[in-house]
Amino acid sequence: MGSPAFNKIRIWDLPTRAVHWLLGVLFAFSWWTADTARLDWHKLSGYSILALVLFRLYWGVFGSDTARFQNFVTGPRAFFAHARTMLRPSAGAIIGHTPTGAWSVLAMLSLLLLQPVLGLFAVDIDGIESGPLSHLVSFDTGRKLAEWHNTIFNILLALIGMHIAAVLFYLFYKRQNLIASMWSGRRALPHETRAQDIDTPTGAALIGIVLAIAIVVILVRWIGR
Amino acid sequence: MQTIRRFQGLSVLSVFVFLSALAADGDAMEDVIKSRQQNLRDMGGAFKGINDELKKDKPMVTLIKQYAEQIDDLAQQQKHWFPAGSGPEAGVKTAAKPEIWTKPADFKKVQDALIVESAKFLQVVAGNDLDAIKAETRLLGQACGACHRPFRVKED
Repeated sequence: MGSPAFNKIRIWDLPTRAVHWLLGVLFAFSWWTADTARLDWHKLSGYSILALVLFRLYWGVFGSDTARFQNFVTGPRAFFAHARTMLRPSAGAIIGHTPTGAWSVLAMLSLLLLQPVLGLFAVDIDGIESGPLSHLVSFDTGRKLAEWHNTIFNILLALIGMHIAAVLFYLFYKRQNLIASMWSGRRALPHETRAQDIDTPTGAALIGIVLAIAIVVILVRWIGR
Repeated sequence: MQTIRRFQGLSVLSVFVFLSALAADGDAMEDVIKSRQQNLRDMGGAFKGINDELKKDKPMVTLIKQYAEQIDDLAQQQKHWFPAGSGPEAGVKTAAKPEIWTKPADFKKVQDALIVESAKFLQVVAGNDLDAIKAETRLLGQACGACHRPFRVKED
């Protein structure tokens, strides 16, 4: 229920929100399954992450307004101009990702793409749990990729830590609840902004889902062994 | 005065000689460790070769036999790869845990198990039955794990 002067406007579409939360859960699940040597589940988790990221990249081109990269990725000038406003104890006027948030998104998405790709080719020490495409690389290369898979995990962990810290900073200092927005998709905005609910191109979403799943299935089942 | 100078000179010289002796000894251990690591990688590579071949539609048993022989050879040599002092104390990067030398009986047990399993694997390969070979490959891989789990530093 919004207060009289505010409307709860939909600013995030369902696919974007679903990808966000699923990625979080799957990252944690991949981490746990790796640590507890449940490599069969780990691989399934990794394939799912790959499909989600592929979809998100597609959606960044064909999705709703706030999902499109062209609408929130900016250059260094806008980045620093916005960064200077970060310590203001109030919510920002930007609807969707801010310039600083944008680069955080790109960094995490790039590594979330790289990570499962590395895993596809990785060779494990005992040679029983190697990735489905590991037969395409040598033992030494596969071992090297496994090491990078490990390193990228640590970098991702740091980025996600920063992401959570930033969100909490927004919540407690700037009094803007980004968690609720990314969950419900809605943000309370003043009447005066005349903000409209964003449109979700559902057809494009279905095509994207099919494409993403198809690519992963081809990689793992057809080319992969 | 002269005698003191000479004494100082000799002390400095002997320190250098001692340090270079230590370094030379360190080099020897480095060779041991590096060649051990290469041998283990060769074993891993051979095992990968077997697994990759088995994933094909028509695996070539003759190729698998070559890898199996390589693993069998290396398995028998590995008792020479872990001389005293070639653990982490050598100052060279190694995943060998100190337990190899503090629990020699346990270590020898898993080494022997690998020798037995690689020999068995060769026999199964000679039988030319792909299903049996696939099953035995899993056991061979488990023999790798049986040593790695207690005696190899977990990579993180």
